[in-house]
Amino acid sequence: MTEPFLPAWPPDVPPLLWFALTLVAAALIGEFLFHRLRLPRISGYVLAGLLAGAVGAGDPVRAALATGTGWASIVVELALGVLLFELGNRVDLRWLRANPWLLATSVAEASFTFAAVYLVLRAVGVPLDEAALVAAISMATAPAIVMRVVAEARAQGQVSDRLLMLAALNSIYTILAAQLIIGWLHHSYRSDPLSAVLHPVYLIAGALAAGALIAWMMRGLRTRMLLDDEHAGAVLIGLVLSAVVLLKMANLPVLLAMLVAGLLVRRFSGRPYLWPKNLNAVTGLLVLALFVLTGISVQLTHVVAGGLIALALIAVRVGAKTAAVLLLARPSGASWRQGLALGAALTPMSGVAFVLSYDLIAVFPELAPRLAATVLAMVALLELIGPIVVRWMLDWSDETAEHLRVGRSRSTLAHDRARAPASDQQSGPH
Amino acid sequence: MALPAFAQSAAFTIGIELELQVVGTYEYDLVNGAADLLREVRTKGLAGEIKPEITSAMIEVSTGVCGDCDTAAAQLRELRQRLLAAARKLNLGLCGGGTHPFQVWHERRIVDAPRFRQLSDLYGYLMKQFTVFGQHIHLGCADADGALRLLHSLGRYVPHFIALAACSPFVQGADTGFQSARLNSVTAFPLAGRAPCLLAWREFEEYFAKMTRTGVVASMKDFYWDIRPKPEYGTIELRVMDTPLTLDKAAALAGYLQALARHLEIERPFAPREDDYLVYSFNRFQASRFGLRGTFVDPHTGEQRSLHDDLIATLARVEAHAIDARADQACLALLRLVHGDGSDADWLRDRLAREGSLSEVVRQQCEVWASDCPQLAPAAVAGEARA
Repeated sequence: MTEPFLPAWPPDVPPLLWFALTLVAAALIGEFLFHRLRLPRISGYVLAGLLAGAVGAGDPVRAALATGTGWASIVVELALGVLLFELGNRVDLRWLRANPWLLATSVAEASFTFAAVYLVLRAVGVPLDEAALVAAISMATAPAIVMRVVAEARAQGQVSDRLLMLAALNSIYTILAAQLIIGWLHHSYRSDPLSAVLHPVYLIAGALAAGALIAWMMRGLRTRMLLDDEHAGAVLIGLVLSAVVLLKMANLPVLLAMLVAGLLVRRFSGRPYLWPKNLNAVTGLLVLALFVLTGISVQLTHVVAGGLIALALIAVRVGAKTAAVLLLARPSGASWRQGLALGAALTPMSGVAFVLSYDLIAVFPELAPRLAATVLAMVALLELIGPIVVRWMLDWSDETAEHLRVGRSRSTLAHDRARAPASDQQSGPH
Repeated sequence: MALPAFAQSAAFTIGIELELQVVGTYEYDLVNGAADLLREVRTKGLAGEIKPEITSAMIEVSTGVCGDCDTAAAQLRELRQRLLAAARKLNLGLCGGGTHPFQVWHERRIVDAPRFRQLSDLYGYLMKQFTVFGQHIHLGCADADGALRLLHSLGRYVPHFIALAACSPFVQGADTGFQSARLNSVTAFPLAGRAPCLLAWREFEEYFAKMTRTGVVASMKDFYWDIRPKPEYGTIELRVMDTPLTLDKAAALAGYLQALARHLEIERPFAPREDDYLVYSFNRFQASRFGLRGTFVDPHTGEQRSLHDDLIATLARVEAHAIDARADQACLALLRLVHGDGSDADWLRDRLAREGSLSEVVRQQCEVWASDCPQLAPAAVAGEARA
């Protein structure tokens, strides 16, 4: 006897269910880490992703990411687009003008990192162009990780501010360098000198123009329509999503354009442009999805193949960044302790490196093995440990909010939960 | 601990202490930047001092001993310039104002110093709530008895200073309706109020000995009176004013105090008595709630008038002494301000009405603080900045 209204048995489980369950598990692990162990939630998300990947969820996600247009890529790029826009908004470029030593610190830490990684790779016999590519990608500090960990810890101070600034800047350097190297690779792999020049120009100029346009539109909407914070959030997400899709259609670097857009929004007026408070829930969800996806896509074989090289690169990267920041700490107005904490806090690698690697593999599949063994292996490790290092550095330099410090009594947790995320007190005259 | 002997100091000299707000430049909320500022600020060759205060988002500047308000203004300008140089390097902002419009008291951090920790242990959350920003003016007195006499004579004029300096209308994101809501934080302390009406230093020493014997106080610093003697400096300290939005106004208020002190000491228009304090709390409340529009009850005649009228009458009466104190320009500017019925608190309310954002109001406060304002009313300055 057939019962046509009953669901089929055995059930045909769509992959989306596994992804949704992984999200729930990730959120739970994240909360456990945050409340019980005072560790960043992001490490929990990555851990959940790694576990899901280990039990076999990895292949469909990797396949989706490899095409560059699948659902996984859209989620990752949307999440990163929003996060980079928020980072650009948070960072004030005028600080660089008031404190040129800070700009010098940024250039120094990026160049030291590039040089150190490049030299190590050349020393083990990696070809010149691939070594340059990996070195370029290694300059970036994961913007998503540093922003979320700083926000979670309610951290404020020189280390937090400088960390966000340096992460924004070195992400820009990395993306720019990667675009230039793409040009070079066109020449070296395809012997295509015209593309070698035009492609990077198109990418960079296009990203800058798109970023400026997006910023201008955001500003115009905000002032003309007198949006209050709640509605500004919805408009913003819609705009970012549209921008991400349009940028992908135009084959332009989404991340650079969104970061530039965020930076320029503030530039157009001295007036404080506050990220809408009610967006914190949305960005929280995007971060969850982003890190679960990047966690799932890790292949253990990559990490094993990367192995010692990845570890060596991680070590020299930390050393290079810390050395550069320490060298210029006092001239730029930071204390020694702040310099040391800042250098170490620049460790995380994640979204930007991840997206760039997959973009490059889509255009030049020859690169896949090398990039997988080095960059993706580094990303896999640093996604997990990076957030913890950042949180420890914020704790050590005394910038974490008092009620979130390790050792605080549980009774203060009730107070923390009672407050909406990231200061709700401006719902009055604001 | 016995009360120190009243030190020698030149009569009618002044010293100004200002507590400033340390804000971030993203949201313009208070940030814990005082320690970084103190580390980075260059203090070589400074005539004044820069010091931390109870919570880490406050920083205090103080001038040296000055003969007139113009000297004090010049010293304040130099202190401002050094602090702003450090602040720019650290991506911080500095501004005046009696309260921060939207900071939340429980986010504040007590600075790690023995006295502050002691106070925090004793007074609990009152200390974090005490993240208010005031101006203190020290006035030199030739002798101890004269200092007490001046202290109690000045009590009648305390509402003037409250109303002139008032600029704390917003607390925790809401309009309190007060011109100076800061004073409510001060009043919360058990040892707030005013000194007992003793006119001989010997009697005051006895009073102090009794208070220390009971263990209620350990030093003069434990009294949070509106006017307090400071025997170590040989001064009396007027503590009721909010930090004004501009340092020009801070200096002008010190000039007015000098003129008033001369008038009281030289002319001796009345002998201070305990009964003068019958109307003290009422007048003080009226000034902090309504500012210049508040009611003032004359303690000697019982007559009621507006604070606005009493100020104008007093400024006229002390004109000659203002000239002697080289504070005539300052008193003239204050007179114009009173005639225009403007106050810093009203300016802040007006700014919020136009901008709709307290973050933007604080940003403009920072701009106003950084600029010079001889007419003492920030409206003109901010108007140009907006254009």
